[in-house]
Amino acid sequence: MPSGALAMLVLRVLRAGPLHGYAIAQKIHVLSNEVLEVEEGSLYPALQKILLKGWVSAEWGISETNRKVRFYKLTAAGRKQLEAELRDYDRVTEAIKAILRTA
Amino acid sequence: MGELWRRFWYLLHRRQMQRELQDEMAFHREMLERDGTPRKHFGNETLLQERAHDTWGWTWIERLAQDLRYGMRTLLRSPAFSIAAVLVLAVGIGVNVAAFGLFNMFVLKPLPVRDPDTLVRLQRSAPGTFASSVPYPSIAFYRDHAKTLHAVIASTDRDVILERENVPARARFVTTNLFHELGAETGLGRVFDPGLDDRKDAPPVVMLSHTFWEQHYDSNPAVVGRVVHLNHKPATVVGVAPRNFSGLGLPHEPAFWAPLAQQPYFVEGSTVLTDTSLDGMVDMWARLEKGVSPKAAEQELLALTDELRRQSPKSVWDNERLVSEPGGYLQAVRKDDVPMIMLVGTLVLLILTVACSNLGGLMLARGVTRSHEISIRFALGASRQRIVRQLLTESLLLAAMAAMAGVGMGYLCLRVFLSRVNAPPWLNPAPDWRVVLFAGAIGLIASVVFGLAPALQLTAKRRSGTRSRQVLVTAQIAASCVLLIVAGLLVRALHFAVSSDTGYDHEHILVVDPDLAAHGYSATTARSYLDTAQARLRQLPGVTSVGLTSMAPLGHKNVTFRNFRQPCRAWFLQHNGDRAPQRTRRATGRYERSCCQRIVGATHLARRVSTRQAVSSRSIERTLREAQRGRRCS
Repeated sequence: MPSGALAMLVLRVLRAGPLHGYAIAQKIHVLSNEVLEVEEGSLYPALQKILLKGWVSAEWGISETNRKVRFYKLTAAGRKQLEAELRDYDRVTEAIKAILRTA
Repeated sequence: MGELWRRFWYLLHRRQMQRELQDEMAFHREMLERDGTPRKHFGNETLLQERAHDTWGWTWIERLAQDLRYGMRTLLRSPAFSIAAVLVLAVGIGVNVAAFGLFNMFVLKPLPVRDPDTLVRLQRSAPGTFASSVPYPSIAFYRDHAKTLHAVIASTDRDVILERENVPARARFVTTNLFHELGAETGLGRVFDPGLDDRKDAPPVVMLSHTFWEQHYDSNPAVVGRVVHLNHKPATVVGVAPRNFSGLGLPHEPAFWAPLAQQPYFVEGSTVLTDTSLDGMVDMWARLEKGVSPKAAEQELLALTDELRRQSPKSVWDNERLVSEPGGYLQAVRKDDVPMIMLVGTLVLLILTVACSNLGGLMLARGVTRSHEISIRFALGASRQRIVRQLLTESLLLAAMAAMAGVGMGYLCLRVFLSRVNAPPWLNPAPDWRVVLFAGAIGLIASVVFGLAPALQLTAKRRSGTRSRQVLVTAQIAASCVLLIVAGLLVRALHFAVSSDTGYDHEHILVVDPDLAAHGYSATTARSYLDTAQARLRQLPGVTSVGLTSMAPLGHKNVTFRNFRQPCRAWFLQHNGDRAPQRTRRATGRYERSCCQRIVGATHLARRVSTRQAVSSRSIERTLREAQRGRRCS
């Protein structure tokens, strides 16, 4: 999966509310009908990148297993970024679909 | 902006951030394990963390810090090698820094005056002719009419006699705006004021240079207000120039500053202010109006020169124009100076090359003993690039230390040089940012030159052996040969200059400069004085001939007699048979010091007899006799 797409997915699943890293991976896995598997090696670099860009903020909280863990929360800039990316994504997929239909 | 800030914030807190990331990823593993993923699917934990950590883009700085720490340890492990290497390189860099420091001091560093960049020096130029000075009436014309010039400064030097002393003191006559224009109002007393001191009938005033005030008046502040006599003319000391006042960077700091308008008062019969021919010897500077380029000012001055030609045709040459050069610097580089600068630059770079190739050989020899360590690092999975970088970092450390030592050496060289040439106090040899930058750049280049070849060879897969060693040795020998040959040539040239035949028997000539003008002789009295002196000298036993000249051979000191159209110098030929004990040294400048002993004696004689009472042909006779008896006057 391209890293840009992963960032978009991460932002999208965070739109519902703050999550920790493992939960993000699980949610993507489940929502994709267990097609997409996000590995540690790509998830955490992507999260660090998103942090660097300022699209999410991180806060320490307590997990469901009662352990201290970092929760990621979408920021206003992240929300804007997600909308822009979704728009772009829709445009491109529509275009690809149009070609596939007619060609 | 926010992103940059976050990146920087991360750098400052990276230990904590790394710990947090580690913790977070450990949690991820715990959860995976709980959900039943086998442990072997987890992958390399450290590698995964580093990859996430890489996102922030600070890895290079950490690697550099690692390399520096490691390099420092390696250098400390063999201190003898490190010290030798730093010393070898410091000599190479120090010579370069000294040469650049000199260049910087003279050409790049502006004078310590206000707004040095808008100052220009203006000189007369026409095809085939050039004069550094401009007649004062022309200067006044340009000053009154030029719109591109904010202010015009003029300056002329003249030796004067202070009180009844034998040694002439240098007075610099300047337009009264000089001190205000250059922003030097902080000395003792007051500075010249265009409103007060510019009229010819204004009460005569002088200022002291700081050095002369220290040496001659023991830094006594009570000297301000006192009356001194220059050329037997009374004048009030109104102030002392600031210590670091450079004036316009002319050589030989004067003892006195005096208003140019009062020059005729101090030097009786002087025509400096009215003479339209070249004899005026007045130098011209100007401060440009804001935003005016020197070229634009030259254009306007060219039009004014044509206008001036219509008004007084004799004072302007055909096709004359005023050319400008930067005035706020000690020295402007002319086209003629470039080959000399290139030659010196090449020579000092050659010295650096020798030092570098020397050090390269040393590094290579030491690298052989480190091959074990390098193989281990390869075996542990380090890439060649990483090891070369490590080795280059060590070279960089060495070069940095050598550059620091080199800056110190260059500073010492300049200090010694300046104390030898009697430099004014404002000439500051301390390294400024240009010198430090230069030393850093030279060190960086040197570290690559002496470090890269050994590093590449030591890490080469196939140890093909001696290629880079050969290159280094060849470079060293070649550069050394060139240096040796050039040094030999220079010594030979100097020897030739010293021992060549001047075409006349200069070892038996005495030169006397009675400086009659400074003693109030008029044209007629000077003429009769010289006639008498000549006649009497001819009668001395041992004197073969006596002559007059405006300029003594091998010398270039001008002595102007009052009202004489041409400067005139008396010189006396004498022959007494005994050989001068010292070989003649011929050198440019410093005529009095470096010409043959005999002439030295006589010039000191001129100084000795240069008060009004003592200037008599009798005293010259006496000294000549002393000289004949082999006594030296000094």
